[in-house]
Amino acid sequence: MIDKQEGFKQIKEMLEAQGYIADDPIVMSVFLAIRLDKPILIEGPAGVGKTEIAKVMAKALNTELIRLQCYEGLDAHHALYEWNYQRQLIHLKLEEHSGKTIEEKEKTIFSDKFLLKRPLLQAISQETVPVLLIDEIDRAEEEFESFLLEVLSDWQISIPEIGTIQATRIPQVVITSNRVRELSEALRRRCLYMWIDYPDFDKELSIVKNKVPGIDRLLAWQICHFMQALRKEKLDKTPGIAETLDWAKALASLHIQHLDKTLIENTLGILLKDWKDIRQTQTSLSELFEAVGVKSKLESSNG
Amino acid sequence: MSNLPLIDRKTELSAHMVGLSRYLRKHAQIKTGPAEIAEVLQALSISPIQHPEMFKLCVKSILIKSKAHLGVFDELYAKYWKEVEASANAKIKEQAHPTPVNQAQNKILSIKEWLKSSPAEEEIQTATYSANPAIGQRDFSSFTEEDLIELYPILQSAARSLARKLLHSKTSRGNKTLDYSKTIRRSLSKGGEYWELVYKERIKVPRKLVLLCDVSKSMELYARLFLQFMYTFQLLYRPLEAFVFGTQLHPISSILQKEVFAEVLNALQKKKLDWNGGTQIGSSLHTFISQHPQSLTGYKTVVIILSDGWDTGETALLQKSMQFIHKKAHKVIWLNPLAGNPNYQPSVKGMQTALPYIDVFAPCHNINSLRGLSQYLK
Repeated sequence: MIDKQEGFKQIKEMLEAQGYIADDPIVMSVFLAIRLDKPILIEGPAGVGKTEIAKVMAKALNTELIRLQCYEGLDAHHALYEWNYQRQLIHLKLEEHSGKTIEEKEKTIFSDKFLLKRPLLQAISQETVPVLLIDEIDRAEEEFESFLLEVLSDWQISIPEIGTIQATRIPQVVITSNRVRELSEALRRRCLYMWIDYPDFDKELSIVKNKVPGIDRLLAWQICHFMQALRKEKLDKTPGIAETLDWAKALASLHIQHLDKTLIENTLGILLKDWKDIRQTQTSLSELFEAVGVKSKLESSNG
Repeated sequence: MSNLPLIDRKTELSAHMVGLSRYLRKHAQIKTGPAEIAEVLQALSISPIQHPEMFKLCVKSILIKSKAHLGVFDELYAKYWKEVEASANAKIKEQAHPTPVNQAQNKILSIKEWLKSSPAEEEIQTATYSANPAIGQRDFSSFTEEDLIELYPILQSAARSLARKLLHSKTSRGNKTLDYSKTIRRSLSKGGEYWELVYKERIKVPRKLVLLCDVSKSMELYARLFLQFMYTFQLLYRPLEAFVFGTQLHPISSILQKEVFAEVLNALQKKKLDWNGGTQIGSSLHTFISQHPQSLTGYKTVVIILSDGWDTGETALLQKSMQFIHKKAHKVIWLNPLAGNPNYQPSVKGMQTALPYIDVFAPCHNINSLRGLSQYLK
């Protein structure tokens, strides 16, 4: 478990112990975020392990992960709290002839029992410091972003019917964005910024070896070379590390020891999720495969 | 790097961080203030910075707030320390780097002259020129270099009125959503009886515009005018994203946000755009959809492409990109300056490829055609 006073090296080791291959910039950001109590804003293409960082941090800090998945139309109420309207309505109906005064009725229906805590309220009312993951913030509207900014700076939420709830502990916040929309300057300034790109060959290879332990050495090599070559193609949806791992796991479970063209063609659906991309790759498969073949031969003769 | 002794004394360290922050702001518009500097100092005090690379990483983690700045940081950071070493007293002298502007090479800078006139003057000029209907119908290409200077105020006025029109157009009434919390709260004063239903108020969102302007040789004149138009338009109208392309695509939204148009032109000059070069519409649009996918989301986004369709690149890529844009955007408008000619036929290869994916194909050869844009954007 990571302590708040832990050093850079320990954090690197802890992340690695959780199976996350992190290079120095990532470790530095995580380290500073924990030590300075700052939110991290992670941007990067889909499937490069942005969300994973929050999960790993929660595990390493041995704390709960509270996730707020953003979507178009998400408003403050869905993120903070909601009154259980249906329950309130039924309650009022049942108490119609109870002879209670309006004030009394009001007091009961606006009590904790009728309050539905949504992720942000949950996060500030925890006993231990949780990791709050605000996933894909770019999907939510700008209004929500400004609202979030307010919560992130004050760490208090006011509910008109109850009063103001102040955070007992400030959560460790991780915000991710796929850059579907440009985020505001104000939000950026409040956070530590981290950009995660597609991994290079060495990093990808160590991730594959780490996550798919039983995989054949040559196969892992070929898979990573193929992925690196595939990402250079002009595709609509470039596959990320998540796809590499899916593919590696699939091939490893079939006990395959090396790639060949038919095999790639048959399993292309694991990597590419768009039929146009698949068709495009099928036509250029020979060249791609040749690049992989040459490279792995070179390396096996060197190694 | 021999900068490590500098960080031994606290006072020097903070002075250098202030210097670095100012240097970054000056050369790359990386906006860092006292709050960030304080944070850097705090971060440095707890980080393992024995190695220069770690020192840099720590500073970088705090100061960089966007992907666009990641690349320039390394370069500027190295340059900064070099300048520190170079200056004898180890204090940072922020040298002004006047950028040589080659006026003769690019005629676009002639606009500068006009820009020096005061805003009040512009307004007066605008009023008089608008009174002349003939100028609105004249094809841009028929203007001489001197006439063009007269044209800018009119162009500006047209851009402003278009922006105002779009911002103040009415929204249609859609489905109403019940506001539960207000309804319940109001019912309480009636003893829990629902006398009145309260609906949520509709918020009007201006639709987003994405402008892509071809700045290749064949479009030179129109691109100049359209840039001016875009600049004035975006002063009033947001959300808007602007790009220019020739053989490559360049985002220019942040450049357009400068206070004076001359600065915009200066910044565009520095970008080494391929003015007067060939056109690769397909690959430019592909860069647009792959690197700026965020541009295509938003409320009823309208994509406006300004180009004559002369394309020297791959047709397949153009088709693929146009198809994607058409699918994602609410509307695709293609403005072609040549379309003002009644005998014009979109027979160019590029235009032929793009046509099936265009919702509105319109001319943009004179002021009136630009004014008419409002009918497609409402």
